[in-house]
Amino acid sequence: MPLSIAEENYLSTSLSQKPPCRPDGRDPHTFRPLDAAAGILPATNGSARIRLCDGGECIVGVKAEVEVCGGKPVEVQCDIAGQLNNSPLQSFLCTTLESAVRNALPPSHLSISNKYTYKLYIDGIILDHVSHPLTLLSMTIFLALLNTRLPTLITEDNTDENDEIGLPQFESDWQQSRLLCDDWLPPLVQLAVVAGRNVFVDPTGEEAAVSDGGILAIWHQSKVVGLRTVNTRDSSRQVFNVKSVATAVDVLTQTSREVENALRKVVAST
Amino acid sequence: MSRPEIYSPEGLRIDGRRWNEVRHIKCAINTHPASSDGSSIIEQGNTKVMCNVVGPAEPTSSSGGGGAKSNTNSFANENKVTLSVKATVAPFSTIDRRKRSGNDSRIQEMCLTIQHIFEEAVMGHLQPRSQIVISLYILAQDGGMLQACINAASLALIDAGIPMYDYVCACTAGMHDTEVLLDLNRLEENDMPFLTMATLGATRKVSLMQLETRVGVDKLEPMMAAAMSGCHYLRQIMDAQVRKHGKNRLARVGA
Amino acid sequence: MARDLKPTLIENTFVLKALTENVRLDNRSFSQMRNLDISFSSTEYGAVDVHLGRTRVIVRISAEVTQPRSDRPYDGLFVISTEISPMAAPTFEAGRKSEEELVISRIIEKSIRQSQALDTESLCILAGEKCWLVRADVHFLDHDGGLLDAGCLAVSAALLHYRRPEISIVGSGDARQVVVHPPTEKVPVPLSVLHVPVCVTFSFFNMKLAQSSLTAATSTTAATTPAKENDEIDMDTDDTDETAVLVDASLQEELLRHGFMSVTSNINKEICQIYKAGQLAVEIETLLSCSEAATAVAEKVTKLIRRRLKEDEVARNVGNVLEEARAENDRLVADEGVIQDMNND
Repeated sequence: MPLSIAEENYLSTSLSQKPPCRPDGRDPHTFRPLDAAAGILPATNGSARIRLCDGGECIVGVKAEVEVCGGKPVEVQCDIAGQLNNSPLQSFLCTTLESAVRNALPPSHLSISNKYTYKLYIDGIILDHVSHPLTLLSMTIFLALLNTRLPTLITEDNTDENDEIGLPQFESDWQQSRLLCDDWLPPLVQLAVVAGRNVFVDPTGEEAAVSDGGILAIWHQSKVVGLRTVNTRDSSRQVFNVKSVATAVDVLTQTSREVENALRKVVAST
Repeated sequence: MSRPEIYSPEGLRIDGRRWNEVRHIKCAINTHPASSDGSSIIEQGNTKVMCNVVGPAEPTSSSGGGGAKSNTNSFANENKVTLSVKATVAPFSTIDRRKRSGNDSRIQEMCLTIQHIFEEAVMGHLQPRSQIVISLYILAQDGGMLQACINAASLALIDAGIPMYDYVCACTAGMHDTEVLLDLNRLEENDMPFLTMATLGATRKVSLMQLETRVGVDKLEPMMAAAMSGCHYLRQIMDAQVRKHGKNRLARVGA
Repeated sequence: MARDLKPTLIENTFVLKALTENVRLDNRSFSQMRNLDISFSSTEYGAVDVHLGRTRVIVRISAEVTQPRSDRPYDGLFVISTEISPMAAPTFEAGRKSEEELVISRIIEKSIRQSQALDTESLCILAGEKCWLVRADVHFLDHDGGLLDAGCLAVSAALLHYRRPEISIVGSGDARQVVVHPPTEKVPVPLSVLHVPVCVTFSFFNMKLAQSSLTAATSTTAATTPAKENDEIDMDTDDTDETAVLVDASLQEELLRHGFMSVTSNINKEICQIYKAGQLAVEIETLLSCSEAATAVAEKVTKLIRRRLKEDEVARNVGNVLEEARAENDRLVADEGVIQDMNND
C-alpha cells in the first residue's frame, strides 16, 4: 500500500536524522530475524530456503548438468510470484547475481574432462517479497551453493585418444560426492539504502521507498569486489553524498562478513 | 543395465511398497503465517508441493494474471466467490532441469482443473464479490503432481479457514498388466496406464477423474476402486494432521 | 465461458424443469446423440466436414517434409491446431485463448496425439534428417454444443481419409535426397492410423439443485408456495439417483450443466482419455457406467466413419477398372443396417 505524504515525510525525516530512527527500532546495520534452511530438496544438487519475518520467502535449487565445454558456466534464473517473466526487476536480479557468481567461481571446479563440464543452473523462486528481493535471493543462492554437492567422476581422466568413450561416468554413491565450495566461498550481494548521511542494511519496503537510493555491494573473499547504485524508489532522484557511499561500503563490509559467517553456520548444522 | 522391475513376483514394487500402499506422506499446515492466510506443504514420497492461499479478499485485477488467465472477465461475481489458481513449477523439480514457460498449456489446464474442483468444494455463496487466490509451488516431482497439488490446496484452504463441504483428496492408481498399484511414483507412471481421482471427503462422490493413457475399459473399475480407497485413506491422514495442528495451537493459547 | 452466452433465467428454469420430467428440448432421450453427418471432400484427401446437430466442424489435414526434433530422430511430427475463431460463436475472441478453448485443445491433443492414434514413427523418412510433419487444422464453423466431440471425431475421420504423397529417396550417403511425387505420378499412400479415438461428452445435472432452484424461481414469481411442496421434493430426491446424465449436450444444455466428463475410447474397448475436472461431484458408479457407455458410442461412430470412407472411396473410383475389379468390393454393403441405425438416431 502506498504511503501517505505525511507518513512519507515522517519516515524520511526519522531516517535521515542523526542518530537515525528506524520504524522497527533496529540499528542501521542490523538485519531482521530470518529463518534459513539448507538442503531441503533431495532431488537437487544443492538447495536452500530463506524466510524473512515480513513474509518474504525465497527457495533456490541448484542443478549441475553435464554439458559440452564452451557454454556459459553458470546460469541464474528467478521467478517472482505475481510478476510476469522478463520484468525489469527479474532481469536485474538475474544478471547481477549471475555475473557475481560467475566471477567468483574458480573455473577448475566445474570441469570434468577435456570435452565435458558441469553447468550450474541456479533457479530461484521468490514466493513473496515486501522488501527488495536482492539480498534475500543472494543469501539463498549463497546457502544453496554452499550445500551443493557434485558426484565424483569414476571414468579415468580421459586424454584426447579415448574421446569416443562418450559421456563420463559418475559414482552412484552420494556419500562419495564432493562439495562444490570446498576451498572457496560464493559471493554475497547486499543491498543498503541511503537516507541523507545514514546507510541502512536490510531495508524494509517502506524504508526503501522513502530513501534517496540504494547501493549494492558484491562481497567475495572478504572484500567488496563490486559496487553499484540501485534505484529503489519510483522517482528518478538519486543523489548520494560521497561520504555516504563510503559509509555504505564500511557498513556492508561489516554486515556481509557477519551474514557470511551466520549462513555458514546454517550449512554446518545441517 | 537391466531395467528395474516394476512389480516383482513377490508382490513388491520398485520402492518396496505393496500394491495397496501409498508413499510416505508428510504434510503440514500454517507453514507461512506471515505471507498468506492459509498455507501448507505436502510431501508424497519425493513429490513436494507448497501451497499459499490468500483470501477471501477484494478482487484485484493484478492477481488474475500469472498461471491461468481465467477470471479476467468475471472479477466480481455477485453470487459466489471467485477462485484463481496459479502454479509455478520449479525448474529444478525434475531430474533433468527443465524451464517451463509460464503459459505451458499443461500447467494452465491443471490450474483450471483445480479451480473447478474447489469452486464446487468451497461454500462459495458465503463470500460473494470476493476472491481467493491459490498459489501452488511444485518444488520436487516424482509422480502424482496433480494429486499433490489438489491435496496441498485442500489443506491450505482449510488452514485459511474457508468454509468447505469436505476435504478434497486425490490419489492415483495404475494398472500393471492385471495388478492394480496405488499412488504411483514417476517410474511407475511412465510405465503403465494410470488415473488420478479426487473425491469429496470420504464419500463415493468423485470430483475429478483424469486418465491420459490408453487402457482397456474392463481395467477401469479396479483402478477406480483402488484410487477411491486411496483418497479415503489420504483424507484420514490429512484430517489427523489438521486436528493435531489445531490441538497444538489450542494448547499454546491455553498455556 | 463468455458472459454474453449466459442463458436467461426463464430459459434456465424451462430447461431444468423439462429435465426433471425426463424431457430434453429437442425431444431426444438422455442417452441419444444428435444426428451425425460426416462428409468428405470429393476433390482432395483429408478434408472432412462434420455436422453434429447444428454444430459444424471442418478438419483439413496437410503434410510437408521437414526436419525431426533432435531428441526424437525416429519420429515424425504431428500437430493439431484447434483455434476457435469468432465464426463458431461471437463469444470466442480471435487470438485470445479462452478457458473452453484450452480444454478443447488439450482433450483433442490427449485423445489423438497422446494416445498414439497416428503412428508417428511411420512418418520418419531419414532418421534425424527428414520426416513428415502432419498437420490437422480444426475449424469450428458453428457452435451448438459438443465442439469437443465433433472436433475429435472429425480429426480421426480426416486422418483416416488423408493420403500423403508418395516419396522416394534418390542417391546415397550424404547426397541422399527426398523426392516427393505428385499424385499424378504415384498413387498417394494412407497414413498409418493405429486406432480411431472417439470422444463422448457426458453432461451432469444435479437434479436436487435443479429442483431447489426451480422452487426458488417459482416462489419468487408466485408469491406463495406451499411449504408442503418443498418437503415433498426434498423427500423425493433424497436418494442416490440425483444426477441426470445427458449425452451430447446442446449449447443450451452445456451452458446450464453442473459438470461434465469427456471420455475418449475406440472400437477395441480401450479408453484413451478421461477428463472430469471438478465441478459437480458424481457417484463413482455413474462415472463407470458412462465410461462403458462411451465405448458403445465409439463403436457406433467408428462404424459410421468407416462406412462413409468406403462410400467415398467407391464414389472416387467410379470408372476405375482396376478398383472395380478388386475382390474387396463385394463386402462393402454388408452392414447396411448400421447406417440406418445411425441415421435414425
